[in-house]
Amino acid sequence: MPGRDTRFWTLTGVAMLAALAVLPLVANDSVKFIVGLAIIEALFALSWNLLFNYTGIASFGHAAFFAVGAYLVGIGQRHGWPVPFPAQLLGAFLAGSVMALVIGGIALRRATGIHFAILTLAVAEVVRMLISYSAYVGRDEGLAGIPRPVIDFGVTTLSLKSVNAYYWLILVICLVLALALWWFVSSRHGRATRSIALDAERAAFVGIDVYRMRLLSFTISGGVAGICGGLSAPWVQIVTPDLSHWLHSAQPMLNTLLGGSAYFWGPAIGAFVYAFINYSTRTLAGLSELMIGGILIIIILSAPMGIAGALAAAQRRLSRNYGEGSP
Amino acid sequence: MSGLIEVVDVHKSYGSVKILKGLNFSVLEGETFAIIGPNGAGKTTLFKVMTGETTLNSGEIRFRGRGISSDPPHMRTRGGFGRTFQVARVFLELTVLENVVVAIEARQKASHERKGRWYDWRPAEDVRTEAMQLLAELGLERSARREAKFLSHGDKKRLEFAITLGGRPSVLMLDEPTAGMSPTDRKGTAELIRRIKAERGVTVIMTEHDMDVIFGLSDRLMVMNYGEMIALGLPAQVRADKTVREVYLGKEASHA
Amino acid sequence: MLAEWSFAIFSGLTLAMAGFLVAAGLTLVFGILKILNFAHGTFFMVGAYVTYSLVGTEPSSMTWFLASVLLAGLAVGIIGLATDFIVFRRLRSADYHYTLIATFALLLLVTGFVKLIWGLDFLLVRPPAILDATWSVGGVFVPVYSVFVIGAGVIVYILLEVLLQRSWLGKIIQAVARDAWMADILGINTSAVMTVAVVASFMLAGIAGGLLVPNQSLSPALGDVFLLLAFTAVIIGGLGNVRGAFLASILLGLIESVSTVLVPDLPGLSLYLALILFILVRPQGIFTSGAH
Repeated sequence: MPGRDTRFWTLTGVAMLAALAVLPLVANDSVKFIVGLAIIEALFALSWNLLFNYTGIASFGHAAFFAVGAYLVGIGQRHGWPVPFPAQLLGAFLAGSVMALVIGGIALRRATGIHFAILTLAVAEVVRMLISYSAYVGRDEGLAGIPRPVIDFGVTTLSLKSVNAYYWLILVICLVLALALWWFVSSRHGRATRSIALDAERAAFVGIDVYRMRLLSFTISGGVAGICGGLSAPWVQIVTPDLSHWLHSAQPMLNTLLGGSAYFWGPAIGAFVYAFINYSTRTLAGLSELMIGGILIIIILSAPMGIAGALAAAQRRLSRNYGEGSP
Repeated sequence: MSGLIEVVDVHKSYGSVKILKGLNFSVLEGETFAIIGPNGAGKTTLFKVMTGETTLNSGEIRFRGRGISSDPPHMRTRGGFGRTFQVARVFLELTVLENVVVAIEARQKASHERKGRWYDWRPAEDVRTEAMQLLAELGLERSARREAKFLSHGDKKRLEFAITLGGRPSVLMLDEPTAGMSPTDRKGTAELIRRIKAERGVTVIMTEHDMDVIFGLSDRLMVMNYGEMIALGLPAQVRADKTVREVYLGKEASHA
Repeated sequence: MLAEWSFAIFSGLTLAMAGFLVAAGLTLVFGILKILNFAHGTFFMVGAYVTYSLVGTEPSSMTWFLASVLLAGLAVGIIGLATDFIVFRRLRSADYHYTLIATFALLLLVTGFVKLIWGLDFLLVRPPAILDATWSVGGVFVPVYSVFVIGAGVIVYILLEVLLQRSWLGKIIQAVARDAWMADILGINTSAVMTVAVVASFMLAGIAGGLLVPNQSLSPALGDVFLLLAFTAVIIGGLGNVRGAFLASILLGLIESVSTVLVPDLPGLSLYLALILFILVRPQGIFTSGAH
């Protein structure tokens, strides 16, 4: 890609980041709430796309990792575990990644494609059932009243109880993890997994241990999804078994396709667009599903590359018409 | 005399259909070994069994004396096998350079010769240099930054060679390397194979239909028919073999 | 004790046949288009709602009920025709991931429509008088409606088997399912065959919805258990295999009803576990042979 393109995109990204950072100073609480959630869903979608576009695996049960992470932190905060909040977040990451390691370890050897997708769906539903069966975590009603944390550094404490403070925490952590994912995808690990996504058999014949790399991707993806859940629990302040419902698993898929799976930041763009549409149509029951389903169909049929793809194509066309000519 | 690769009493069936019926032969180190036979003889299946794409039902395949029959493809590649496909398979959405880089990085990982730092997000210097050298050798250096999907059919075949060579194989398994090519391209490919052999001293095993390429390149030649070996030896010997002539030319013509 | 278990088996069979009614269309579409239609359940739901709109809470007669079911099936079939032309045809050559997600999008779209048109309230359709009774068979109380469902399932199965195995249309459908490219070369209008299969599948879904709506609380969450059973039966029976779906439905219906006796608080758990186990152990299904 020519250098001009990268600069354009980086500038756009930095601008967006700045906008997100100053949001708490200008917006009201309900907007902050939606945007904070959108940031988390953006990272969640990025973790899903790590599997879909960059490893060639479709996970239809990604919400399970999210739910497990959310419940872990939710319980920890609600029941006042003597574990500092950063450790709880780390625990959410570990929970998600260990779960992914176990599931992937068994399933990736024996199932591929559609079967793997359905298996993940089934696992997520089992997780949901087990959660809603347990009285300790409030069965179907879940756990409410989850407090936001105060981090004790010994010499000083950092209170994340205010909306602004916790919002910025979400922004920082999600940004760092997103960049970490970006590094992974650009590194030789990412090149190896991408080759698996493009032609798994050919990758094997190049000497890549396909199973192992898939498992690595799956584990990382599960861990990041777990942290997304963990971050969301004190933000939304309630966790319910529906966090593992297949509709929640559909969320990152939607966001990814909306924004464009072939572009790294596509899923994030999709998450924000979706949040916007959802917020604008929240008054009429059924309208948001209609809009999202409709938009998704239109995108798949006419612009399978998503919003990011359409933008990129438009930008290329513009630079061809007004730039210095083709390379 | 034990060869580099030994195929010992290999049987392979798909369901109830027997494709390979007890093949026995050796490939010697450094030779160019060709496998020919009419369509349906089982050449492709034999190839798949040797490269690990499919498992055999009974028998064994040995590489440097070690049984590799249960090794999956990536293990065989790490052991020194390189393989090209009849219709060139390359990673279409990666750039030409990235295609070769992937192969080199995989090789380095397997042999623990990595020099870059783990946090690098671009290919290491030595990897990029080696990749560009390979591309130059195959005349693709100017397409380095283009996505592989934009290459012509012939260029894709050459890219596949580059990818395969990136693994520094000791055995090159070529599946109909000149399939579907014009006579000029065919000569070019044969020349390429000859050059690679001369410069790297690899052992080449190939299946082919083009007789000129076969007789021009191969040291020894094996003829298959209906899953069995019907002749094995020097090209001139095989050419004169009565059974082979019957199979290829029909009973009447073979007496000509 | 015996009564409890025979009732469990009986309701298992009812559940099985209900699941099969949904599974039949699903596996048909997969067999021919190689698409696992995630939206199949929503079309089942549309069939149920349309039937409700036609017969109301108290259907006046069995005949009107059956007629409405058929009309609902027809309506859904027409939607299927539109869907095939607008969505499926365009995606015939695309990566299967995109088609999966397209059916997912359809699921959302249709759910949204249903919510908009019929609202979120729980509705009820009672079975027509003739079915709203209970027989006493050897000490076990057997709802007539359940017998009706079992009967319907068996009839649909027989019809499909006869159609697919013995009619010329069935042979063509099987040819397209096995090797569409070859069928095309042989002069078969594969596009038309695929459309026919899609429409038939949707009609089946709509009819299933109509048949199963009595005694359910009708809401946008209808039929979750049927859907789950249907998907599981389709996978276990072998994607595209109608006979397999039939046998698998029976197996699963029985498993599920047994587990409701043993573990009543976790409906569907046994189905999920069965699904997971099968995918890990024999992903091609019990009844398919060889290559998938």
